[in-house]
Amino acid sequence: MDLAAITDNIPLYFKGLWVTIQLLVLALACGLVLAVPIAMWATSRNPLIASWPKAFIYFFTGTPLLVQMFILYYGMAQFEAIRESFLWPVFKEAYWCALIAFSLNTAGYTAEILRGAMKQTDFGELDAARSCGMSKGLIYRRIILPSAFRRALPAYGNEVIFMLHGTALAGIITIVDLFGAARIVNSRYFVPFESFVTAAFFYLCLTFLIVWGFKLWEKRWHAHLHPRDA
Amino acid sequence: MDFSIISDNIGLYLNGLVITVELVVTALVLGLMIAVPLALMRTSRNPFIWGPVWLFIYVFRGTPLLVQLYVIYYGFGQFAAVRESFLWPYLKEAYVCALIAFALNTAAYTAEILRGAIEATFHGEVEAAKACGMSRSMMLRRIILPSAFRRALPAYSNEVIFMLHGSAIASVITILDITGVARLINSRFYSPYEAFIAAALFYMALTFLIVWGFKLWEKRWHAHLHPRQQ
Repeated sequence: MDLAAITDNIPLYFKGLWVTIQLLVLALACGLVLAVPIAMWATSRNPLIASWPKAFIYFFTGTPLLVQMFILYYGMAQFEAIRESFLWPVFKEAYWCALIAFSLNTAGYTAEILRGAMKQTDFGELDAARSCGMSKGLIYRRIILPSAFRRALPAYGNEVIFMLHGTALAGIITIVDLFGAARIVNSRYFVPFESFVTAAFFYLCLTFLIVWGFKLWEKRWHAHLHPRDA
Repeated sequence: MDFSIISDNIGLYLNGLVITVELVVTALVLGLMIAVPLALMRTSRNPFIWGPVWLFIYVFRGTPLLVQLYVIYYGFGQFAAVRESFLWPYLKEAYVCALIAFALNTAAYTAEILRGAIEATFHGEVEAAKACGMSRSMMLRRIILPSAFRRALPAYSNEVIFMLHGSAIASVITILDITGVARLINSRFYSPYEAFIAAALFYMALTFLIVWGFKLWEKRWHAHLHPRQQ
């Protein structure tokens, strides 16, 4: 065991940590923004309308994130139309390809979680909202979405952790995130065990923070479900 | 777009499919065999029994599968004690390392699912079993485990699909599973788009089969929960 290689390179790990957090937060934010309309679209009663978002969800939850990332990173560059378009500065960067793949992937999973939560809305609440004369948009804003977000919270906490683990794949396509940093340290000093265990330790701390944060959040949002204090 | 590359090499893809299915099935079977005793230990009241199991589950659920794979594949080879032991002929094979990583990972997730299911056992059932004079092991065999497996089934089907997607990571350590074959085809013909889309289709078909199989299985195991047919 040679921990000197790790302690000398701890700034590299912190840089990687920062990239991982950046990727995770941006992907989750983009994914959530995409997921809400997709989930609303997918709950439509018209099968012709609902089939499009459902196909999106099916593709992104049905294939591995690694394959999705490879399609975007290696696949998109194959087309001359993309290489010559204004999109090329985006698709030639590994960072943006990873971010797009992660966003679309988490959008698929989050939309599926939200769709399930929206479908469980109590009929009585909708009846009451309609009898108060609320428009469809107002019902979504005030009744369906707030209670759906609340019901979706525990499943979403899991999705955030899965996304954190998914971001490690970015290290494969040359991005220096936590895992990428571990790969660099390993290739420089040949200390695979120490370098990857250190990365694992960082991921463990992040997972712990996420679990703890979601516990607090659930306590707040699910306060009405707790047994009353004596 | 030139999909003749794919149809010419369909044999390679089918070989990859066999490897993927083999890896996933073996990992799931091993994982389940490890998970059942772990889940039982995790529900123990003795902190010396549940403590280590809690740690195992936390570490394997808290770090990315990719990092676990790297620690096992690259990390263990670093130690002379491992390289000189009788296990080395196995541990030097990428396939065996992937299998160990996947089995331990799915064991942790499955143990956590089973723990939740075991703890949800209805008190009355346990009391009734005790009143009939069942021993602890008989109670486990006849009452607690069968109903826990039933309750765990929907969550387990998700875990199976996650394992399928996780197995794509094996391609990173030179294994020719479906993603590995797609990478091979890409590097031979430089057709990333077709190669990875074909891989995605294979994974989608597998996901579809798994979802469908578990639907049938749930129909059978949860038959007592269905509304009665007229």
